[in-house]
Amino acid sequence: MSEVIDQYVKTEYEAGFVTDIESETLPPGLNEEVIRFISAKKNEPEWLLDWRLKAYRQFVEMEEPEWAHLNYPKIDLNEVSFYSAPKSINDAPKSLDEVDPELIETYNKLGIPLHEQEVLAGVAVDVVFDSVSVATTFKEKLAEAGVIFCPISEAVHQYPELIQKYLGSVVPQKDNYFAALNSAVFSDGSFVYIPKGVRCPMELSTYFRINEAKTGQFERTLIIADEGSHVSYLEGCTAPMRDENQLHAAVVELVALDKANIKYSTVQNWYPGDENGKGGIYNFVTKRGICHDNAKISWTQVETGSAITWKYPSVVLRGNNSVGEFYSVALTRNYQQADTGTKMIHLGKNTKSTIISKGISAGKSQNAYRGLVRMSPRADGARNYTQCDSLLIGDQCGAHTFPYIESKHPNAIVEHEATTSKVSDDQLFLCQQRGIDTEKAVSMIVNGFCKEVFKELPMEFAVEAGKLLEVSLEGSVG
Amino acid sequence: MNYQIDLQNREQLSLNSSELSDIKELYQQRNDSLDAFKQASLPSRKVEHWKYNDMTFLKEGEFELATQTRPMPTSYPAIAIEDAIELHFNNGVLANDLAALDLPQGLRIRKLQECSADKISLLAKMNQVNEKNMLLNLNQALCDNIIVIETLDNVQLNQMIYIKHLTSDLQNNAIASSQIFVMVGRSSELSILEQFESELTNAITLSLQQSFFQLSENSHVKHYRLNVEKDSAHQVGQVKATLEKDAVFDSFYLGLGSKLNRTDIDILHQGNNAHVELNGIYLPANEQRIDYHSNIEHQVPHCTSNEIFRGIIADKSSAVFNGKIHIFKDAQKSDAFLNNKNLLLTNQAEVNTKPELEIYADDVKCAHGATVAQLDDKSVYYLQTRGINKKRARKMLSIAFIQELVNKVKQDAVRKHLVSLLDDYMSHID
Amino acid sequence: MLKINNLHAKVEDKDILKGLSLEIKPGEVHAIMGPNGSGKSTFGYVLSGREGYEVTDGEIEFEGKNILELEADERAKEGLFLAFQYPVEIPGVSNMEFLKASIDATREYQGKEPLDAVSFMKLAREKCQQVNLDQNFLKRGVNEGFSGGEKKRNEIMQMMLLEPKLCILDETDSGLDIDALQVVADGVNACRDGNRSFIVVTHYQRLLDYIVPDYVHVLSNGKIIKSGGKELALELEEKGYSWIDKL
Repeated sequence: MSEVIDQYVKTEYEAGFVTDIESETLPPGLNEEVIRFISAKKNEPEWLLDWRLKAYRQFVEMEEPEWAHLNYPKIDLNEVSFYSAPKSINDAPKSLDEVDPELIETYNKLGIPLHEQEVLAGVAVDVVFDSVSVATTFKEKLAEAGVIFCPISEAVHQYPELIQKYLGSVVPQKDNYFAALNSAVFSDGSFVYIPKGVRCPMELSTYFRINEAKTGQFERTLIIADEGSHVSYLEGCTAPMRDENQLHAAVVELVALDKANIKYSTVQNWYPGDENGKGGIYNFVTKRGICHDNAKISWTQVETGSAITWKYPSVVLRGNNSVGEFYSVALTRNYQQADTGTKMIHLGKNTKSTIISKGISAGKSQNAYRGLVRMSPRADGARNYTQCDSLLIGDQCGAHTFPYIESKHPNAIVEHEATTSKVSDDQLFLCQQRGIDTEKAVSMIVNGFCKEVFKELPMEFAVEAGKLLEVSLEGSVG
Repeated sequence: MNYQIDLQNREQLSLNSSELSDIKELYQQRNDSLDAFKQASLPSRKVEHWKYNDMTFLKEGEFELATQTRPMPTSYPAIAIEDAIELHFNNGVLANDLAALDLPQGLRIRKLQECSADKISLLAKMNQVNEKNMLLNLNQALCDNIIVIETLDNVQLNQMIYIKHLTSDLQNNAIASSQIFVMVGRSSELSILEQFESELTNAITLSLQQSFFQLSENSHVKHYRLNVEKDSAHQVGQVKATLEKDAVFDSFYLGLGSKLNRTDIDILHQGNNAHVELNGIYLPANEQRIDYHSNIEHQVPHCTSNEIFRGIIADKSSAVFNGKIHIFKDAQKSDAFLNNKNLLLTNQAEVNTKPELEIYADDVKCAHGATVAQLDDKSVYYLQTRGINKKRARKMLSIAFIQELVNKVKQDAVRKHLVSLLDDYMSHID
Repeated sequence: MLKINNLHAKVEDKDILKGLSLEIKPGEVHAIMGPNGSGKSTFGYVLSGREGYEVTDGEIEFEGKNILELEADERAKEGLFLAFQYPVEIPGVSNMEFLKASIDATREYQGKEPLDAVSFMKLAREKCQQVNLDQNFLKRGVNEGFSGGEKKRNEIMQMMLLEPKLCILDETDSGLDIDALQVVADGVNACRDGNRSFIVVTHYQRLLDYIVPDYVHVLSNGKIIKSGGKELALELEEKGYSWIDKL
């Protein structure tokens, strides 16, 4: 079996090409001038500059957290460039046709043909390249339904009341070290507003790509689902192969007002570093949603990339009868390290949450689930169910489970279960004896292991996620 | 001479001058423990391993180390165990005369200072700096009451070793400090009962108590640790056991009462095919805080662990359960199971549970589960329809919730005592 | 069809097979009997190419081809089928998915087009019925939560589906009651078509009442020490395995 594990470890990263585009990149380092530069570049109103500076001042007082089960050299922020934009789109393209053809080519290489998606899938796509939103498709069609889907930098100018009201309302500037950093320097990201009672007519989608060397990406996404509205949002990420580590510190805020329903799906495939653990993205992401009465937020993530993943998509169940869900597949191999999970904060009555986490560790990687379920003294009748499974491939890796359960209400019910299993020699032999080679067998077993999560993904994404796992597992076990 | 410990000004603390501090095998260990104690942050909500505890009493500052020898009062609520070999610790100080004990063949009980240098070195090893619990480091730095219990190989001890602890009659805030070190020979068997009681005092008492077990090949130990202290008592204790090949450690815990009871259970599987059985019941009421932190390390292949803790949390009390299973690289074929269930009885009660798995080997079977819930309304209703009043029905169901664990106590006298304690407890909660 | 000459094999440095020779012609049914620890299961694993089972001497020729260098899945695709004594569970992978992958792999190897989903389902349902398995069972995980009898019937069902040339039944009768045994035997007998050959490894003579062998071999200490017709099985049952020690 070990031979094939070795091979698996050597599988190459498929999205690791660099796009040759002239870009405008800020020299590395962080200070108030940088923040003023970013803000000026975007022609931002005074209040937003102040908001950023406030975040920055809080940030410098904070320390990088160390509680995660992660081991990496500290990030030197003086080495990171906090702004990079493809030059040729400084004048902001009005439509896809105006977008740099090389960029379009990049997305085609990634298997995201914008035009094709427009026509075939009917998915509206916002593309964030390094830190700048490149193109948003389907704007008009969405506008008919009253849905706003645009780069957040544009929303600042066009919908200042919404931004002022909600920006930082879910993840405050000083929430944590990385969120504070993001609040100070975020360059772009997507903004979505779904009006009352509207069911968004199509899936919304963003693709993120880090292209420039030594660049940090700090996008910020804000989704507001007004009363009774529905939206499904997809997010995909890739980055080119580079020897040095690159920083990604994003913030995503979701607001689900009464009876609203937000489904947020991520397939994260940032560059994980090479087989010796060199390079790769440091992915420190704060994602959180607030549910008001009878609202629902569902996070689904498939995490296969990044050298370091630090990510806990959470739901604050503030409203009565609100629902939070977290479905996760995290696959680590080589020297990847993931510390990921969720927080379900039950504040309202009869709130419900479900957590299904599937961790797959291979190679020399470390994969940890960290989750918090908190039942407040007001959470009458609240329920949580957590299932947390780990699958180990090979004997050099680690799988860890750190669930925190805090209950202050006698009528709240919390259930947590965790198991660990491996891909066994017996299973592989049975498959082989039926003519199925080991590679295919492993991929079948892993897909079976992840089934409960994949069924939560929108159809096209589920296929993509399945393929991604297959690519990642290529030549994995024997 | 009184030895004062000012918890708020720790840097001035130096080693207690005593018989034990002069032993060279212990000196380094004591010094290291003291340094670690001085350097660590005092337990508070900001420290991960103390996150859920209320340690405000530590702000009281000055504590006096209890050193006075007092006999065990006859009012001690003893368990009627026939033919037991008894040790008494009153405020951590040994209260009975070891020489007067009538010990069976193959069993020896001594003070540490009477042991050979290599035994002392072994104990020093057990007293290594504790990374998680700085108060245990304090105990390791200054404990003067260390009793060593050892058996030869192939000794089947029929008599129970019964250790009575009491914190009593203190005028000032005080720390009681003691350790026992149990070394069980190859293929030997012994059972040991630790009971902790206290008298209600106005002063704040902190009892620091550590019990170390070293199980040689194929040895079997049955162990009971019952904490039944009053609301003024604080205990920070530890049970630490190392298991050699084929050894079996069967350990039972009861947490009932005390203002604060924090017990760290550390099990180290060091020989193949060792097995540990940890079972516990915690029943905090009033404003009590009970906290069990268990850590089972599978350092070698083919070991098994089975851990079940259940808690009923009443009134304004709180409970913490942190159960970690750590499978080392190479510890293949490990089989570990952990289950923790909690009943919260009121909306001012609180439970924080954290079952953890840390796994570095692939061919292992590990599972844990934790639940927090209330009594099932349907069951209560069912009993009511059969003429049982609601209060009684709730009690019956609460007892049923922990009955499985009570049944695991095979020693008759201990189980009977446990049942009577539980009856008493049940009659006081709503 | 199968020629085994002087086969020696070891597992973890322990010699298990010590000079086993056997020849099987198309359509024949050979029973291999022997006490526990005689190397019966090892024989099945060695034939099917399980990793960790090292052939140290001798030859195995299958359909005129030396198969010793082939991986387990390649041997399977060549038409060698092992029905396991203890089929392992694969949670999460549905039977249907598993069978489709298996059939597709085999057909691809044979240069055939993969079966379309409709014909596959039709075929699978048909075979399920033949071994008296509920169709719902196709949706369940491979062997997950199956009873002992269901697992064995599942093995026979796969055998019928894959249409191998040579089937090795490794103690397929163990743990089965008489009704389940009948179903399994009917399945096997239905597959006997004059060309397909069988090696029936068993501890008990009982199975051979249902699957009547052409030859019976007694395996002891890694070697075949006695061969004969079906009456040898009866003799063995009557006299017990201690009898062979005296042979």
